[in-house]
Amino acid sequence: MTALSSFSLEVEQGELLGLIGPNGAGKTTVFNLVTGVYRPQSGAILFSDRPIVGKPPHAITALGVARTFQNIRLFSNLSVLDNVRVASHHACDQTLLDGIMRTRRFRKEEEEMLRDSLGLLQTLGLEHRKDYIARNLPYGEQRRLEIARALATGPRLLLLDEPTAGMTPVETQALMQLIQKVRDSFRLTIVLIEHDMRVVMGICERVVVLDYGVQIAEGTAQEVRNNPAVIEAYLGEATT
Amino acid sequence: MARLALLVLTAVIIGALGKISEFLPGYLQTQLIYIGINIILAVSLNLINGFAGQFSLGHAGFMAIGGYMAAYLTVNYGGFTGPGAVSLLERAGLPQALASPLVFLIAILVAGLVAGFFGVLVGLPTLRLRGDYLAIATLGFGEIIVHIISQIEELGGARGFSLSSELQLSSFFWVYAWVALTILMARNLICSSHGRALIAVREDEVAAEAMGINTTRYKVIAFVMGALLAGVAGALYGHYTMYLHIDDLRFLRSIEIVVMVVLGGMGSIAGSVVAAVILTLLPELLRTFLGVASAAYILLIGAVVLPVRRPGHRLAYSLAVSSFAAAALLGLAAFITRADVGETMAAAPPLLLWICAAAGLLASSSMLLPGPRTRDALSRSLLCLLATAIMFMLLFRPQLLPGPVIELRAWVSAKLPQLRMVIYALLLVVLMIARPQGLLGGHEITWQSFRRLLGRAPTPTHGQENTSS
Repeated sequence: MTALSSFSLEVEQGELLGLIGPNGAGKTTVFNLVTGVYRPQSGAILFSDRPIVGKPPHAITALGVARTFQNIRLFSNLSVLDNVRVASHHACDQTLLDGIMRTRRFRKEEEEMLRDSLGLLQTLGLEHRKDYIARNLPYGEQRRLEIARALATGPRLLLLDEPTAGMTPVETQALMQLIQKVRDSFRLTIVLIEHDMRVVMGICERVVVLDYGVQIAEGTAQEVRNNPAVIEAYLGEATT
Repeated sequence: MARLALLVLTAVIIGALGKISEFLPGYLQTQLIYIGINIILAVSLNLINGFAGQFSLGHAGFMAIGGYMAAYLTVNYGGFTGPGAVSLLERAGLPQALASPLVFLIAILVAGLVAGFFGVLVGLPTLRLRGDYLAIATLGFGEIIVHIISQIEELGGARGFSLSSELQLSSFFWVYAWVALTILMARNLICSSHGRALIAVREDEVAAEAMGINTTRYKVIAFVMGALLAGVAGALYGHYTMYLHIDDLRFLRSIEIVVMVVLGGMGSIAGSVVAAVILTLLPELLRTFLGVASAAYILLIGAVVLPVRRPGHRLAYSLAVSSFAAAALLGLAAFITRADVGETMAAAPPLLLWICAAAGLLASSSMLLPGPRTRDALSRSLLCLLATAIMFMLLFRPQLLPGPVIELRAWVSAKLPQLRMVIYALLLVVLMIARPQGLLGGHEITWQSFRRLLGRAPTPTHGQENTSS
């Protein structure tokens, strides 16, 4: 039994791609492969034409790939601000000794990190919550914090795993607009796993459909929606 | 510039306190030294167990490495007895007053670095292990280390390593200078980007990796820093006790340090300090009946009075804290005087009477101040008064108590040497049940927290506070 087989995908820089399919189709597996959490038994993964198979997750993040999680994985006991600051740590220059001795380089970098993190929180509409403990946030804001945190790593490719899961229609609409705004202002490439068809129809420029680990369709949102194979895969699935 | 001034000021204060401590009875001076060493051990272990979230049960092993390494260096190369580093430096022109401390400092630093190196050796292979498995692996490493040490003849072998009296280099100043350094280093590490990365690894390893943090690297960093400081503590310890034997440095010692970290609250430097102080003094306090009664009384007042937060009622809380402080003062007085209020009640120092009464009154009144006056507050207040009355009678007027109680009191007093550690263990169990999150609940004591207490900084609103307490 394979989670993913004969899967081939090319993502263009700057596009907003949707990855859809019934539950268990292997969508999160794709994310886990790209971010280095899983290692493929065969095949290659290239980022900017460079192979990344076998690299540890933190190295792949440093190359410019960031992700959010299907079930929120925030640092629950840390503040909102710290959640975001942690994500920008990998790019900082300060050494341990700088931190312990509180050198000028340390203090300058801390200031910078603080400013950048606050700016990011402001873009995501979370600045007023900066001192809140992450697990005390309402659900919708936790999801937004996940995105803010991923953005803090300074990515070029952003992988969003069901970002609107559990959100009300109003929240979903707001998040859709936010995702597009973020893509444009940060000049990102975004791959989105989604179940909510309004989101897929609304913002995805291209859609890839998975079922039982196999790619069954690809095209624009409209093309895919009317594809008989896709409809059959989703039969029995609750779609919106 | 300001930082340098602050460092010098700290050194001067520690030096002054050290000079003052020389006027204390020898017994108390020893306790202060042990407190300092335990603070270093607890804070360093907290870096591994509390902040990095790793479960290490082998901390005494690092302490042993540091202790033996430093002792080996000063005995064989120090030049304190015969030719060596000190005499070399003196011949080079350095006055003896500087040469001796310099050599000791070098020995301590080398000891720490070697211990830190072993931190890498222990940390790297055990990194894939989680929780219980890591605990057992570190326990194993700790045992391996001390058993290898006991095989080395140059380190005294099975008889232990004795240092001659010229080598008693650890003093109040040395120990507490390192205490200050340890706390400073730990705090600076935690409040830096690297510290946040470390804590993120504890919070969620998968997420931390996804955010670009090399979790392996940070776990090793925690082990190395913890081991290094434990090595320093070991060096200071060896040069105070003048005798190192692996029997003092086995897993039982590791567990004592773990207890301090857990009791103080994982992830709180202040918690480790408080717990180290309490757990060093407590076994000594329990040597007298007055001490036992005081310990029980402090626990009771603390449990009844401190948890009650009256929003917006700072006076009530100040009274509550004062009552607790008075009870603690009673314990401290009991400890310092080592006095046992014996059969002759009339000889009871009036000061102790007053402190006890003050504690009880402050406690009860803090519960009765205007505010959300519930039946709960009333019953707490009565409990405080009752406890104070019983305490009073137990210690100073036992003839007022019923017969069986007098007999029990006499029996406990008589059997105290045997009962001491049982009572100690019992108190630990009670504390853990009453407050599993630790005495400080994982909260840190910072300048900010002082300002809040004085009302000069805003208290966290709902959502901002970490409600894990």
